[in-house]
Amino acid sequence: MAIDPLSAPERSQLMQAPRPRRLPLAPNAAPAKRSLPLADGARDRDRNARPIYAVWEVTLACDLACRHCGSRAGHARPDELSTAECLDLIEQLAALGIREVTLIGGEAYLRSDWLELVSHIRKQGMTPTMTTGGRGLDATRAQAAKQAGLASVSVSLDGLASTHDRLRGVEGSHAHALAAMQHLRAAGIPVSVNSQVNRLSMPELPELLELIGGQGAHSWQIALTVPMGRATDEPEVLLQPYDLLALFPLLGTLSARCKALGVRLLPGNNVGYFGPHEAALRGYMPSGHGGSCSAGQLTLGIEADGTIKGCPSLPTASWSGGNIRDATLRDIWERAATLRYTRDRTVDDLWGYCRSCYYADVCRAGCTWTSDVFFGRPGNNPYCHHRALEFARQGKRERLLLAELPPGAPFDQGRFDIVIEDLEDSTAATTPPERQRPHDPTASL
Amino acid sequence: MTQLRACDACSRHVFVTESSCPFCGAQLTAAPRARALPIFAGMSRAQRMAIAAAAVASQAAVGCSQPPVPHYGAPPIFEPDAAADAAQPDAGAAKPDASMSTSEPPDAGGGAIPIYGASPNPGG
Repeated sequence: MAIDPLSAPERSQLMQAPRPRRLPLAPNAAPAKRSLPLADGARDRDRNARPIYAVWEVTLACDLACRHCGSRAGHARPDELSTAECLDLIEQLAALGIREVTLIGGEAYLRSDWLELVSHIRKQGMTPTMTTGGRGLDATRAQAAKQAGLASVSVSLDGLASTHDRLRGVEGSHAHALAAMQHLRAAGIPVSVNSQVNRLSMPELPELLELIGGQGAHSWQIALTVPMGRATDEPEVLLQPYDLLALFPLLGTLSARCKALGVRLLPGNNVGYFGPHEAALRGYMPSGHGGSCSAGQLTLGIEADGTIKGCPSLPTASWSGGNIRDATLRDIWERAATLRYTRDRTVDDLWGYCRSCYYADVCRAGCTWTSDVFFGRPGNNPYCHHRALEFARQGKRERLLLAELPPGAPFDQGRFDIVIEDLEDSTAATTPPERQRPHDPTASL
Repeated sequence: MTQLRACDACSRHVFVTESSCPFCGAQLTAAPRARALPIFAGMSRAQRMAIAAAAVASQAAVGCSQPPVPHYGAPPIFEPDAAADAAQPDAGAAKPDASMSTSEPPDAGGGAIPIYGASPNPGG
């Protein structure tokens, strides 16, 4: 099966497509929602659930302009936490049981006190790490980060140079990312790589892996690009569910190659689920296979303005649990309805295909974020290998069709419909979604 | 907690209660004993212990979840803890590149938990 979901003309057209200009490139974020309601008290299940991993957007300022950026990053939020508030939050994270804090952005190093935060995380007994596009991560910054105690850095590489630069929106960003890896290694900071998988990057994954192995990365994390923020503006870049029929055999092959190269392949939570390559891809997990979503169970996300979510990727508008300026981290963790979601979720909360899936009780629709950004509600996840295989077995496939455009705010989302069609019907699939006139909520503004 | 096992014939995960694979029809032998904790090339004993600790902690806490890997960001952290000092290295463990080793001692009481984020010391 061909590993490029695009024909040569389609690829050429998509590579040269200008950035969509319907919406502002980097919209100003609205001030954080404040004083969200919390339950009166915590239940045993809330007290027993404790996060061990936090992902913290320390600023929304960014020096890249990625065309798939979910937070539409660029400008700092108007109400980002002060240094003193950050240091206090770090102490609350430690008290709650967090073991590792990954700083993200925007671009974390654009915050002037980022090394003070790294150092304080370390002092509180937690492990500070960072994810970066690497554009401004020069030798000086890398050495300073090492001195502050930064334990490891994941650099984003989304393909070979031309594809990466196209996706990241800045010419030369691929070269900058590679340079950042070299600066980090020279400073003594271990490096890993994270990559977005979409229709542009998918066929380049084998070559990308060889590049990563040659750069000394110890791990390679992959995640499927999903329609949040700017990624929704170019739906033709996103994988269609039937593309997983070719992607997963490729990942199985890459898994073996990773072992030979000494690179750990780590599929993200939204690389789902339970196909014949599950053991190869997630055999390192305690059960030998993937589980469900850990948002609000083992992980939490923090936005630069103090907003707390169960997962850093979840849309802010509907998944904010509260703000650290209004309540303690512990109270938000235990008493916010949105952070309780996965603690309370059962099979009865699933819908669509996932509701009757063979794996429903184990998987519970997998990644909450993926389902939510496609359909505006969790519980039905179309990015699933098992699901694609089951449709294929019946000679069918699912195609996602953009029905409503996003309004153009950080962490915003559109809405997609699912079309079920014959597996071999390729005519409809090549019709660009935007030609099908999705509803534009900004049209009347 | 629901338990799955991999079908020997087609590698699909099936419930341990199945007598035949619902995907390929192969007859399944009696359910194997609980799967041993994962041995992943490149993990030290300390790393595997950390995974076990995370699994036990998470299962006790919520009953269904397990260490995840996020949608973006850095891969899991596998940092040696105090137990690593006494641990024998794994025969198959990858040795860290010289530039990736850290001269710093492990965090006191670090008790590393592998979830996601970047690994500072892949070889433990």
